Amino acid sequence: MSRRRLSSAVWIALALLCAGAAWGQRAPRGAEAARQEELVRLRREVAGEIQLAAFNLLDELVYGWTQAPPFGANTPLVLADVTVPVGMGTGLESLLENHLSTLLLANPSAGVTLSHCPACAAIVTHSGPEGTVISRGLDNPEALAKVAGEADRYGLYIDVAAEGAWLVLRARITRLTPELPIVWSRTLSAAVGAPSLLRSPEGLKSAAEARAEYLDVLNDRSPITVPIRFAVRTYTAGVEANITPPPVIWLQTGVEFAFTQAQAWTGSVLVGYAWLPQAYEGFMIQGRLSRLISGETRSLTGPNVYLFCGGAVMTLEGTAVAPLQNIETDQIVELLEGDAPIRAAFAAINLGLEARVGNRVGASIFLETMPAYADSTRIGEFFQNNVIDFHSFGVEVTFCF
Amino acid sequence: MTVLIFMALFYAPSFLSGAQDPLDGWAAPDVDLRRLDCTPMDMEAARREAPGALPPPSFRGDFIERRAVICRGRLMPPGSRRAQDEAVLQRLRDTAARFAGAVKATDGAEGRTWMVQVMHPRPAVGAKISFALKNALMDVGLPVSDRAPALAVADVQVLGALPPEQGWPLACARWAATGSVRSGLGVVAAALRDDRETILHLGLCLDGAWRWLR
Repeated sequence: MSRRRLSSAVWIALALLCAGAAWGQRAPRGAEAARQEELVRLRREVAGEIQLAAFNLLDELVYGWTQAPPFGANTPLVLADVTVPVGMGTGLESLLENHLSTLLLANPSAGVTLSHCPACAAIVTHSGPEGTVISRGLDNPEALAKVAGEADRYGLYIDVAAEGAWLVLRARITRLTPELPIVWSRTLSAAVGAPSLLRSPEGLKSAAEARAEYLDVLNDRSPITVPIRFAVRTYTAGVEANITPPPVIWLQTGVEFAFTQAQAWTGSVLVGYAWLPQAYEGFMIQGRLSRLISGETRSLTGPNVYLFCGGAVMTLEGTAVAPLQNIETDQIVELLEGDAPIRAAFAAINLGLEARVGNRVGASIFLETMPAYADSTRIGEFFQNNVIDFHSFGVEVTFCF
Repeated sequence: MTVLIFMALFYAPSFLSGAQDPLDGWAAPDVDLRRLDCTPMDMEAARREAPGALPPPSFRGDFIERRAVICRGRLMPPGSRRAQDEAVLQRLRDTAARFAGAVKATDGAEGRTWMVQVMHPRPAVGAKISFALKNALMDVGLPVSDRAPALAVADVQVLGALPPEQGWPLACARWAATGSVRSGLGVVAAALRDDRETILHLGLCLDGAWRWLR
């Protein structure tokens, strides 16, 4: 019995050993897979930064050509090779090639155009007295000349390397003759963390110009602006009124503030003054909340449309504001004949749309409801409906500083 | 005791000013140094490199010799490349510039067109070294060709079996003998003498004679 037990124990121990060995073999594979996954994640993290910096360097390269073309006349170039930092994938090579093509197409003043040469990248075999050479067409100009015909060709080689904290772009142009002389070369570098200039391919700028433009944009995105606004509020006569209240012209100013850098939400507080000789004089205070509806963030180049709502309190004094009194017509006539000042004070809730260009100039239209005139027969309504009474229609022009 | 006080007064400023040194400071910030590329330099150079990061020089002079260490995060995260490749690539610009300067200073360098030959176990790294060296040679005003010196298959087989110390001189002689490197041409070679090392060596092949420059 004890023998059988011993035998069972031995078998169990062997089974455990085998399982352990199998687990031990699997563990390194699991660790290796985890390491690879982590590397892929890390590479993905830096890929975006490298791509932006490399695009920046390509922009600088082509900008340099627009300022000092490498050839006297416009010359076709074969894009011989584009290589990316060791450790990065080949997808980046394609992105760099495409960006370079875009830049050269958009900047003819660079003096070079990309040329298609299938034989240059093909593997060619050339037998001569010195032996048989198998190589790319680019590396064997004698064979290339026989395959693709005699032509004055140049090859452009581009290499992007990550060297410590620097991304380095090297470019050289080689004349595809038997001696393969390098006729032009340039090395450009950018430090890690240097902000990308994000230059547009059309109309490339120098780094200094691009930086000045960037600072202008940043300055233009100040979270606080001071608007000066001209507003006209119009009213319509009610069903029992013979006199239409006059339009009121307001000059307003105050502070407008953005809640985020995207400027999707903005708010403003303004005070206003209205004056028309012999007619009226008025003061108002207004608050408004605006939401960008033309995009997620405010566009720097196109117009932006905001939907806004807000409230205002206005007080007006003068003969012209008599129709804004909630009284009968004969009482209005009495008021006008008397010496007592004629005043109207009321609150309004407004809803409107504003188009803003470059955070400099804006134009808006709005409708206002004035609760004090909800049951009034003196003030009429715009866009009559059963939900809300719009007593006032207005337009505004805003200049921001 | 007086001596100790004087020593303390003498060394305290440098002891305190070097406290935050990320390389060897006793109160170095807790950062992963493997992710940083740090360069020690004098204060004047550091003010040029990192404007605004250092206080301006004192009007009354500074009687302590200070130095600054500028650290930038490395582009490639640790572990994403072989450590040996990283060691070669992270100072490639400087290496290429030093090699080009050494070639330019060599007797007989002017008036030749140079070819570049690189020997590195990994072709991708070798191509980077070759590109950098060609551009650096162009930068110092030496004419460079993209052509590579050629050898017959039999030569390559023999040379492959030799250690670098014997292989390179023999290759140089064969280039001259076969006419691959004619008069008026020269070969600049950057190579590792041992697959495990991280320091590139520079050699020249001129008129069939080989010499190590570095």
